[in-house]
Amino acid sequence: VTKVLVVDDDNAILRMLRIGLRGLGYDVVTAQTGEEALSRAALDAPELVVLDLGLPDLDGIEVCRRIRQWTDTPIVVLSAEGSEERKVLALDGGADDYVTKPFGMGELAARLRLALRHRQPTGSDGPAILSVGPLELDLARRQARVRGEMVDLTARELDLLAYLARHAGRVCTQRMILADVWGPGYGGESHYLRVYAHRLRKKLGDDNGELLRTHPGIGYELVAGEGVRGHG
Amino acid sequence: MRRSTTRASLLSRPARRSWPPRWAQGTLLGLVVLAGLVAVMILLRPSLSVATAGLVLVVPVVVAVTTGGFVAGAVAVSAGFLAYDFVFIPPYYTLAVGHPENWASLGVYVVVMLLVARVVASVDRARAEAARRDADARRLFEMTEELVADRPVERLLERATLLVCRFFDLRSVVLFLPPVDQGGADRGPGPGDGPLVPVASAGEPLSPADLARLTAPALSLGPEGAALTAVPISASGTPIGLLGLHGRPGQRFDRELLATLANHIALAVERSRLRSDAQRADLLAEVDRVRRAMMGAASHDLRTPLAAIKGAASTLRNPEARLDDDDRAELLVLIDEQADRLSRFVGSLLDLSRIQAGAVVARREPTSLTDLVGEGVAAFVGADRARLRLEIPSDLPLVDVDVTLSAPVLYNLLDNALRHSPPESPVVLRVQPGVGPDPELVLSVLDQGPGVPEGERAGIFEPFIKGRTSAGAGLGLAIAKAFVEAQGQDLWVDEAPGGGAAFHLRLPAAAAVPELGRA
Repeated sequence: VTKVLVVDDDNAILRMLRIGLRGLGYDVVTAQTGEEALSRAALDAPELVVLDLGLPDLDGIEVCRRIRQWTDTPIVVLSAEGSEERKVLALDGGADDYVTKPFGMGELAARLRLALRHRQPTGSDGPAILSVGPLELDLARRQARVRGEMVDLTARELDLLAYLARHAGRVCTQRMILADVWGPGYGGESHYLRVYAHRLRKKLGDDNGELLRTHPGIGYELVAGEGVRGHG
Repeated sequence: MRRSTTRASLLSRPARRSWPPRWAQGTLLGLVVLAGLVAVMILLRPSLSVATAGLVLVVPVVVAVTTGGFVAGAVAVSAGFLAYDFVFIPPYYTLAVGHPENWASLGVYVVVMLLVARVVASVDRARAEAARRDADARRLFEMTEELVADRPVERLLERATLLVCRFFDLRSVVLFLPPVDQGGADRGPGPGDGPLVPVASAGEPLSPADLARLTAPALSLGPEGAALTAVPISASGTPIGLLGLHGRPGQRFDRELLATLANHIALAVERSRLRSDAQRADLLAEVDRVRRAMMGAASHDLRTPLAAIKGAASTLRNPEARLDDDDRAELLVLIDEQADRLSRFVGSLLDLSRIQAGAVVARREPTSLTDLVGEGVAAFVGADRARLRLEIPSDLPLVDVDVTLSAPVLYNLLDNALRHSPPESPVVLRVQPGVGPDPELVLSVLDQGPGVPEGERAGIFEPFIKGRTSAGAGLGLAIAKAFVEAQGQDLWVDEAPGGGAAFHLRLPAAAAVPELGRA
């Protein structure tokens, strides 16, 4: 049974999540303040944290950062619509994903499953071949195929796609992508990403952005569909 | 020479004209000294050489030049020449020059004297010029000091015109600027928009005709128009106003100095404009911050119950969720409660807009405290209700309140106390007789939360003010305060015995009902 730590200062939300997540087979522990969340995270060793960003004592983003200092436990933050900067801060601070309030339990459950899967141990280099939905990336030979068709990509486009594929199903903030693909020192050049995302969608035949999804004001996600699989 | 005297009379404050004129004084003094020296030297003449006498006669010339200028010096030279020839060059007491050598003495005397007069006069003039420039610089400095002083712009401009008026010894000075928006609108007066209006003046008032003439596109000179001058004032290269000067007849202005003063005024105007822009920007930022806070708080308070309802309903519908009957029942209760919570919050928002629209009118009537408290706590159920401790004596007088306003006050105070104290800690509602001169009751709500620091006690009743990052309504206390004030009552906060917050509400006792009265 997967143990989930649910942190929210609102009693009603906690009750709802406790019943809802237990019904889905999770073992639920709860906390109502940031300090309590930190001690529960340490004492109960949850495998997953659901964290509301508005806490009475500590900022949720700070809680996120502190948990990240000593554990890799996936964190999914709950946040209201319209607070995109806070979501970006939380993701940059180590959160794995976010869910916007109000949310359906199905959506939360899907996000939790994805977050858990990303923590499955992978080798330091990761698999050489990644497949995400219709997309297959051969990182060793630096080739990309969509539904079996070769796609001609520049080196940078392939790097970008590979980064998103390694984090498929997760929202990557612009800062995270830029720092990894373009290199340290990059982070504010969101217009690069808009241009590259546009080109990639054209080349991948993904004109509606269903595979390479934009989270406005936050970042990009390669939609995992039925999951990302690594071979060899 | 002429230029120098004109400037001197213009620039020395009230020009002091001495009588007799300076050159006459110098001439007189030169002649007196000459006469004295001649008298002394006549006595000593037997032992004086012709050349020595000539040398001594330099003195009256220098005296005349330094006190009376070159004109006086020239007169002294002429007089000295005559005296020298007449008295000291033999044959004495004739203008005849006996010995040819004496022609040379006389010639040397005249040339040397004229040169001395010339040099001394120019040194004198240079010193006067330096003194004048020094005075100008000092006054310019004083004016600059005045203009950078931190005062309201109106006072600054009044002061500036007065200084210009004095500086140039003018009849009147008027400063014209574009009209300033009084409403504090977001658009400041830009260059060149709208007609110029006089904003400050000094000296004698100008006639409307003169004012009109000064601001006319081309300065048209009236009958005595030569005395009217308009100086443009510009800042950052764009004209921002006009300085109108009305001088005395025949007066001329030092354009350079005027331009310098005009620049100083322009800088002062620009500086004050920038400052007011900055203040306006600060204000807008503050308004924006408050609006954001309100949006955030309202959004949180609307969304949280909505999120609970949505989550509970979607769990109930989810075929994958394995729920027992208790879970289902609790989720249904949750949905019901949160719908009420949402409805109350929407009600609060409506209350707040009623308050802001000034539409709250109290209708006070004698009310039993039991009824009032009953209304106030009716909305609390379950665990929340269990935390409430009511300490209400039984034999209380009726209070004079509007139940429709006071019950929400009580609700909001209790709700606030429940939310800001540890779960399961009790919240006490206590009613005691007041200590004031009039019969009254004090209703107190005491919690065991962190309390309200002394400095924040006034601000806590402002809408959408909450603990730093704490979630939850910032509305309840604001509404409570407004409803209390609408009834002319009193609501305040201090510290509960255990360190938590204590909110107190003073309610006036209703006037005794007639048949129970003593009369």
